[in-house]
Amino acid sequence: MDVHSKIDLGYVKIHKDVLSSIAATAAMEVEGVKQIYNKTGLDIGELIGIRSIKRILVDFGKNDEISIEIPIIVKYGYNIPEIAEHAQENIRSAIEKMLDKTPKEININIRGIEK
Amino acid sequence: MKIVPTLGLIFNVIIFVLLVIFIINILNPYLIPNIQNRLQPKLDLGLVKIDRNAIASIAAIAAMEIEGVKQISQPRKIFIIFELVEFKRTAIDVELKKDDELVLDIPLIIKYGFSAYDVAEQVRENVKKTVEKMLNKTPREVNIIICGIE
Repeated sequence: MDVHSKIDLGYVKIHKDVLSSIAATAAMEVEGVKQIYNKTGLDIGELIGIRSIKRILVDFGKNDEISIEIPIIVKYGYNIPEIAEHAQENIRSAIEKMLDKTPKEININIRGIEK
Repeated sequence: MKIVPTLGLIFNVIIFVLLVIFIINILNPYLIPNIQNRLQPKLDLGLVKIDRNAIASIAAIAAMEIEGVKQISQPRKIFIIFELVEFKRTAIDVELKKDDELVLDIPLIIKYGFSAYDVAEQVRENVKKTVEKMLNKTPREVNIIICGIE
């Protein structure tokens, strides 16, 4: 994603990993979220030396529209729709504050539940 | 002439299996079947998907809370292979019928000395209550199969 600065001295490029780490820390702040799902059963890729698979998918569509897909593990006993809504609001406000852009879609996958 | 399997053949097989596991691992985020639940939040920021395993583990934790339940019976041995590659097959069946109606099948092993009927009734009520509390949705059927007594 390119962000043009006002002075016209050049452009600022932002990598996808930045967005995914912003989303991860914002989601972990919500009460009731246990962790971000990142377990890979047999990680042969890491043994060989290839970087492990990214679990948070970030897409830039046309016109730099941001869409994020984030897998989450929830604690037992909390209401899932409320937690998902809180996480979406929190991620949106964090990205707006840090990048001055509103994301178009934030999809949340609930992968598991732990005590 | 007899064809004898040599060491080279065994190595080939091992390397092939490792390759298959590696490829499945890469494709993993796209292969896991998701339940697309209709949980539309108010802000219209995006979808919320809930996995089958998540609903199964809610039911498992809720069933283990009841006194008299020894354990939830294990899946077959074959599915251990799938567990390595993250296709977790829990013993609990979660079906999604038309109009998002949930049907749960729970296989149980209960302790010796408890009344099976009472335990089943308590488990059914607890599972129904916790699924309602966590998903805002009432399951239509909670079937309980008693597989054994220990």
